[in-house]
Amino acid sequence: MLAALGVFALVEAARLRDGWQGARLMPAVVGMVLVALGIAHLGLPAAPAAAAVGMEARRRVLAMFSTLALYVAALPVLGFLPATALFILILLAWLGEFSWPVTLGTTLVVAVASHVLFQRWLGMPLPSGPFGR
Amino acid sequence: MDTVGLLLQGFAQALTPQNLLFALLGSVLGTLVGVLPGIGPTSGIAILLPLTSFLPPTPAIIMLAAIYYGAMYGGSTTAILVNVPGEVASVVTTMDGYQMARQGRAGPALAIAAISSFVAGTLGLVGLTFFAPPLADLALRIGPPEYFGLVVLAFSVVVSMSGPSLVKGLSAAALGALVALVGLDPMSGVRRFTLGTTTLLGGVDFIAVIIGLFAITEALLGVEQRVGAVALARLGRLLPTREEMSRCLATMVRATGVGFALGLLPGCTPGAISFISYDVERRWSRTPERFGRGAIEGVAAPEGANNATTSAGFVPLFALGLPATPALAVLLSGLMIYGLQPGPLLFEKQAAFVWTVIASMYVGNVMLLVLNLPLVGLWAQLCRVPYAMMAPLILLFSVLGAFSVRNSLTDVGMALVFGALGYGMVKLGYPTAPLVLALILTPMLEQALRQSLGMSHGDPLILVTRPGAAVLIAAGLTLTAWTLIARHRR
Repeated sequence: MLAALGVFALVEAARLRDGWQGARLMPAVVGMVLVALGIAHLGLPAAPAAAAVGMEARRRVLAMFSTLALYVAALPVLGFLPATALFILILLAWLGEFSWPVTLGTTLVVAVASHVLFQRWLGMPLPSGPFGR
Repeated sequence: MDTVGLLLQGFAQALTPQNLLFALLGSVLGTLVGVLPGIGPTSGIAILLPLTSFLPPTPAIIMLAAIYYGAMYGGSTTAILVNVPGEVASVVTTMDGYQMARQGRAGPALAIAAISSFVAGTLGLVGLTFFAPPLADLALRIGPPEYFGLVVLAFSVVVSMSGPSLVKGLSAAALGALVALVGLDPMSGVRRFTLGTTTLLGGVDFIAVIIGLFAITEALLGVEQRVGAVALARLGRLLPTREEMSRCLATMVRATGVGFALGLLPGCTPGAISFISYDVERRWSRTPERFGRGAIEGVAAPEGANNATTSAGFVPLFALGLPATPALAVLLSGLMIYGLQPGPLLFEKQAAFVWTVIASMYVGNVMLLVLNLPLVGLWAQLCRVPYAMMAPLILLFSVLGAFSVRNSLTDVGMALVFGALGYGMVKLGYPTAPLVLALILTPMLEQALRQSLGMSHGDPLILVTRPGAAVLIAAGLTLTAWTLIARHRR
């Protein structure tokens, strides 16, 4: 942890190349603070085993996060409607213990509703993907 | 008492069926908009502004003002129910509000938010009514050094928000400060921390950070802990107990004071103000340990302060044409389209119009209360929806919300990054509130500091030679010292 903070501090020190005392002021101050805090971390009691979290739980969190990340990555590729549908489907099927009709039904409703609401009605320029108009 | 006469005339106008209808419509739309994370009052007003162009000026402005108030309230609803602040100002509400929801007390939390908002908003409007022009004048005398002092004062809140470990709290704040510096320097245009990419040129968007830090982190935590629903316990009463109400009364008045006073200053964002109000409340309380664990005053204070700030924001808007927040800026452009010319002469030349608008704001406040109290029960039920269904929805809205700010997938990516960061922070015991606060305050601090130095041609003493600034800085330092000592004693 302290290593990370120390690195950050050094990053600004390097960036201080930008501009003069105007733009450099805050980054310099923040940099110094970070270094100081990084050192202060040495005085902290040893971190409790990052809150005993089971492997199972960790895997769940990672899975959810990756699904989310993939969804975001898929948006420009697949377009909003299909990507969202897929995303909701995967999450519902995995997380919930709903019957198939409920899962599929909800997915459809959510995906279509959000498409209509946000893309059509509010006109947000969400990616349309290959199927989009 | 010309003012009262004009106000009454304004009420006569505001209470016509047509105007009432639009106030209602605006309140509903505003609340809906506020509930969606990422789509705060600013985007809400911007989106709905064209809709109002079909209307004659008075109903249009009434509707826009109602939307603004409504959006502020909507943001609190999600903050309480699912720990997702609808906009910046609701961040503080999540701290006790969500805890209350988890204890099955979403009803009282929502109710007190509505009530507090109403009381503070109305009191704020009274202030606006009687004190608008002189207050505007006073607000103008605040210069950069005083602002600096104010921000220093606000930063003292960071210390008290740090939780058990001061080092961790400060580290979170420092991190927030660093993030705030990314992007183009607003004063010199120099690129900072952009790592050679163009994506970071626009800086890290604030809303994306909040969405990531709150919504996504919460979803990740929920999955990790296999949360069944936000509140599994039977939902208790829907309204606060009489005892709680009486406690909160004083809170509401204090919050109004803080919110209104600070809201008058253009540039003091509602986010920072809600933090300050929360902190004031906590220090005043005889049982500060309750805060952060579901203290009802912890909801009443920021909510009240928000609405008071909203009301106060109209003072510089009308009297000087200075919008205090981006949302007000959009509102201002709407007003100008309809021929409103803000400035000291506004109250003289277009009195009827202004007072109608003000009167309808009173009405709007009442309307929000009337609309939302009965709905509290309905909203509270949302807490019992199985998490399996809520989580995907929350994530979907997070993505949409983050995207909607600048129509950019980068912001969504940013939200993801902060979501992961937030999760890490919670697991390692780092408080997230200081990060957010620092994120809000650092740009203000920097600007105030550099402008002050500019005024004094590089002499830092300007900060202590000007009485206002000196007082504020001293207050900030004293407060910090006091908090540190109090922590030490524990």
